[in-house]
Parts: sequence; structure tokens; C-alpha cells
Amino acid sequence: MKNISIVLILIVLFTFNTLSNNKKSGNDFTKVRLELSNKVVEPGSQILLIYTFIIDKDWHIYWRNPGDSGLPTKIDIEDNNFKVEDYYWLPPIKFQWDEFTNYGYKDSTKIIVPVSIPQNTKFGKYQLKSSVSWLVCKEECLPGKQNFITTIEVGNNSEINSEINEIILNNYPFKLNNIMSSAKINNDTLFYKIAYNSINYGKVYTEFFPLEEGYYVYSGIKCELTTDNEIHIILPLDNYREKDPDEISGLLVIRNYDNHSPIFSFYVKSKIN
Amino acid sequence: MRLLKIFSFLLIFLVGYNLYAENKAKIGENAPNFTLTDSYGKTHKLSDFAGKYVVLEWINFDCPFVVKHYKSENMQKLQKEFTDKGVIWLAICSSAEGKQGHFDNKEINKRINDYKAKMTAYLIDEDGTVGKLYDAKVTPHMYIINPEGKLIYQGAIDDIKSTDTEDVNKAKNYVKIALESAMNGKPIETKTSVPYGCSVKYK
Repeated sequence: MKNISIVLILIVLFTFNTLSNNKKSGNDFTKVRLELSNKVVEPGSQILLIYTFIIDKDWHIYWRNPGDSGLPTKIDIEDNNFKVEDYYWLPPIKFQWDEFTNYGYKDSTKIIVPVSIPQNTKFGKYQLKSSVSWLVCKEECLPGKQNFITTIEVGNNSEINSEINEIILNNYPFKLNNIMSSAKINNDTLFYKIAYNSINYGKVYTEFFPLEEGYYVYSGIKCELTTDNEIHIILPLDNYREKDPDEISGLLVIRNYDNHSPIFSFYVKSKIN
Repeated sequence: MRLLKIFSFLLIFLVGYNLYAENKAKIGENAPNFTLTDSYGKTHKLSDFAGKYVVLEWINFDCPFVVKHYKSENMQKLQKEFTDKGVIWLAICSSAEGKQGHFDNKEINKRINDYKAKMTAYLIDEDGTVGKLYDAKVTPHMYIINPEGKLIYQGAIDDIKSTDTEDVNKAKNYVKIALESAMNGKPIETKTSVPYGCSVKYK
């Protein structure tokens, strides 16, 4: 009788384990939550949708350009009267495998979506539907998806969320429009130089993440901070590119040499001569 | 001293990169030859198929992007449509032993039967040599070789990067369009695209 019970328990455990394995999805390894920057937002101003991703240990999700494989993390906001602005993405990290490279996040990240409320919006509560999809990978990859319905209250608001503004200012990349730069293609390689007013941040190193897909051999990208206030970026062009790029745009990240944390980061964009 | 340092950096980089780029497959050039064994133990050489269109499909049956195209029967329909017209369709698995997508022949053939897949052969490239020769990055990563042995398409199967089977019918299928154009003597509009999928599980 005791033996039969043990066998039955083992069968139940085995079945449960098999069923759980079959039901694996990206949602099992990444949790997403949505918060709003403000409880109430005034017409003519912005509210931020803050999507926080908590990623299981050793797994990763992807940046807006995922690199050689994977899928960008995507947030779709259902059509409404509000205007969805460019998302804020934290500087990604590199995941190297063989001769290939991916860009993404491990442990956790926040993608922030600014939503502008038109000046003529009437006071009241508005429902906003959004859908988040992602691919989470370790040795295998699993797609995840989560839908959100949130309520945005438009009204008089004296409250300003300075905490979130400070987080954005200190951690998220900004856009540099007027940079001194030159970009030239020679021998299937793009040479990109950016003038950089160095401030003494101690021992640092730089990384460059292209925004465009399909042009570069990501694993071959080199980025060096020179002593004469220039950043030299060398980007080997992909054999399979459809054509040479006309312009280069990407994210430059200056990192602390010892702990690898980003000190600051900015988007750059230049015409290629 | 600084100039010398920069020059050395560039020189090392360029020499290294040129060595790396040598012999890799390129659009419009001869597709590199290879020999691989299929899931029934039969050996296939690319050069044996000279005079025919050949499709190379990098595969990993456990990758959700591959699952999307097999569950929706999109891949099988393409395979059937073009193998019926004399195209050779080679699925190549570069998953190393112990990595996702690597199976023994019995399991491979079971999955081929379960999916009713119509590829000409499922080739095993567990050391990744052929995958790296073609710079196969993801599954599925698709290539088309014309009867003259030139590589005429590489990239994604279609233009919707997702794992959702519902997207299959909304997508522009690059492989189908390229094959139809080439076989009707028309220029291929999209010769290269950015492939999407799971990383190839090289050793």
C-alpha cells in the first residue's frame, strides 16, 4: 500500500512538472508593472507611463535594437486622443555569444513612455489601454505579453513628480543635436569621430550602440575615448547590408571603468560623407 | 606616441576584420560549398544541386520563431509549393550537442513527420561550420541560391518580427517573393533583409 502511494505521488509530481514545463512563457521569467508619474495631469502637459520589468536571474530582454538576434521589447498604446512621445530607454548592456552580440537588459529595467495631453482635453477620467510584449532569453527564448488598462485623470494639478524627473535626468540618455562629428566609410568600415568636451570622471570607457539594424557587424564595433577630446568609433559594415548607410545614429555610453555603471549617455546622429 | 597608438589600433582592427570577412557568403557571389549529413544519414553536397534553386533554412524546432512558422504551417506550405517546382529545400540545424534544438535523428524525423514538413533534407551542422560560413545568426535565417550557384537572397522569412502565428498572413514573405521573381526571370526587389529569431545555438 505504501509503495502504491509513493508511485502515485511520483506520477502526480511528474505530471505536474511536465504540465508546468509545457506552459512556460516569457511571463514566467519577467514580471511587468505599470505606474503613472502623476495622479492627475493638466491639459497641455505630460504624464509618464513607467513600465518596470523585473527579469529573472540569468535571463535577459532586449533593447530597441536587439542586436544580432532576439526581439525589441515593444509597448503598444491603443489609439486615443493623447500623443505618445518617444520612449525613454535606459542604456543597455551587451550580451556576447560566439561572434555575435545582443543589446538588452538583465535583472530589471524601466521603459518610460511620455504621453502628452492636448490643451483642449476636458477634465475627466480617461482609460488608456496598452500592451507590452517582449522576448526573454537565457539558453532558450520565450515570448511574453501583458495587457494593461490604466486610468488617466485630467484636471488641475499642482503636484509635480520631481523624483521621476530626476531619475530621467540622471539615468536616461539625452539627445545631442549640435555635435562636432565626422563619419566616413572606407574599406567596408565606418569611421565615426565625435568631439567630446571631457570632464574628469576618472577612469572611464565608452560604448556605442547603433540604432539602425542591418548595417553593422555588432561584435566588431570598437569605441575609444582619445586623450584629445574625441571619441573614435569603428563600425565594420555587414557583408549582407542592402546598401551603405547615409547616416549613423546611435547611443553613446560613458561608463565607469571599475563598476561598469553608466556615468552618462547620449544619442548622436550624423551624416556620412 | 598617441598617433602611433591610434594607428596600431586601426591596423590590428582592419587586419583582424579582413581575415574574419574572408570567405564568408555574400549576395551576388558564389555560395560557399559545403557537405553535410541529413537526419537519415545521407550525405549532401551543395554542389550536387547545381542547376537548381536551393533554399537554406536555419532551423531549431524549439525556437518560438521557428514554432510560429511551423505551427501556422507557413513553412511547410512554402516548402511544398517550391519543392513541387523543383527547388531543393535544405533545413540546416547548427545547434551544438547539448544546446537547444539539437536532437538525435529519431527525434528530428519524428518532428518532421509531426509537422508534415516538406523540406528536401534536414542537415546536421552540429559543429557550426556551415552556419558560420553563411553567417547564420538566427533561426529561421533564410538563404536562396540560384541555379548558377550565386547567393541571391539572405535574411528574414518575412517582414513582421514576432512570434505570433497571427502575423503570418499579414506579413510580406520575402522568400516567396524572391523565389517567384527569380524563377520568372524578374529582378529580386529585396535581396537582403535583417533576419529575426532566436540566436543559433553554436557550440
